[in-house]
Amino acid sequence: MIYQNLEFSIADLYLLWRGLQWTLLVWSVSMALGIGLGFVLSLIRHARIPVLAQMVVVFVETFRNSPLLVQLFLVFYGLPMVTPFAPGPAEAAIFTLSINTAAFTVVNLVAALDAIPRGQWQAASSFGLSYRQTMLYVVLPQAIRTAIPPTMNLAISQLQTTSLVSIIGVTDLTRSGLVLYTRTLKPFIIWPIIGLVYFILAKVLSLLAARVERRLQAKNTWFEAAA
Amino acid sequence: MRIDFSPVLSRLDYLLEGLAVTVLVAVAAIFLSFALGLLLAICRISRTRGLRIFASVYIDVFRNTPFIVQLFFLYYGLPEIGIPTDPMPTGILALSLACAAGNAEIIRAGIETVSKGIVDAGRSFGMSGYQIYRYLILPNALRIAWRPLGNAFVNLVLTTSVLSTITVNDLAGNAANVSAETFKPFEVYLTVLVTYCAVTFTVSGIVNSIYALLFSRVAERPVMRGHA
Repeated sequence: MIYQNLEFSIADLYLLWRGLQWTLLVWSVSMALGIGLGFVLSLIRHARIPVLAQMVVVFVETFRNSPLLVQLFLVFYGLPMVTPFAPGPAEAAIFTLSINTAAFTVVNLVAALDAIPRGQWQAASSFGLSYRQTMLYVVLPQAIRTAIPPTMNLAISQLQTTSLVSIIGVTDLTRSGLVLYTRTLKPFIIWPIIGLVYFILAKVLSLLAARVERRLQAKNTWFEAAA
Repeated sequence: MRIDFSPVLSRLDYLLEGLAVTVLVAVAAIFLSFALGLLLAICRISRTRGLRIFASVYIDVFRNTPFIVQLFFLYYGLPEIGIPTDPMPTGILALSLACAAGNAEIIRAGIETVSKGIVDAGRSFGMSGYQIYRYLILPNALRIAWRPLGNAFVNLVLTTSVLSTITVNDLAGNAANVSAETFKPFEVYLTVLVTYCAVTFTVSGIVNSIYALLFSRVAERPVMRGHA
């Protein structure tokens, strides 16, 4: 007879805890990298640097219009076959999620940059400000403020998306759920618990985001009143 | 390593079968999630407290938990309570349930942009609640909601790939099989990636055509003027 331990033990909590750590690690690192990369790409796109700007558009559209799962497979299984670069599960996960997040960030930030009226560029240049100075002191501070709420929403929704990295073997929260499920065969206990952890994380992040948004709003009202 | 697409081409028929499954699942789930989303949106703003609470809890739960967890819950959970699960129907069900929550929020936001004046006008003409919804509120609300709904549908198409984890033989699932057979993961997944792009561009195109067909005239109707 095959012995299978169908009961939960205290050690399973540790498994969940490790899973949670991996989820948060993959999420936070890839959000930081993705938003950073997205920022640089947005500047390239907005400045309409020939060739590079078009490449950014192709990159953004490709990664926004294909499933993250296939992107993960392409990086994890595909890259080692054609490049000397052979990432492990966690590296592949962070790399792919960063690129995916960057693509969505570009959309938000380019929209925010394009929303700055042309008049401000003209006014700045009539004051003798260079492109760099206008960008740095006039346009970016406003554009970033507009782009913060959608970027925060993106980051919150990407938290759910990180669950897909379990498929390439990252031992995140979802993976620990799978491990526990295959051992105990109790789907009605495990999946609600895993779901609940994600739910709580998302709620906490939403609360933080709402707080930041309120602050921004207060600042914007002050800005408009002063103007 | 050399990049060589010929193994992919030799298994093209199998990949196309996967594409057909992906399209089938996506179309079914788009219709179901739209219908369910509409119902939820109406419940969400209904005057009956029970319906309102049910809809907001449903939306909250499904939007804040990962799809894959919902999918595993249904796929591994339903047999426990005596309902046998086939991958494909379960996949369509999970996808519809999950995407309905997002659609409901989009449609609700659309309904909330319809000005109260239109509803009052309908009431003073003696229209019933159903008539007000059908002829006044929904055409306006759906026009506003249509483009965000289109984005949600594109997202749904991309999410169908997750069904391959419960052994649905969709494009992503068959791609994994071809990749294992041919040892050409890079070429296989790149081809599939581009195919998904083609599918989502098609979906966007259809969504835009429907907008032009149904809603471009709505704004011009005199009764809608107060709203815009």
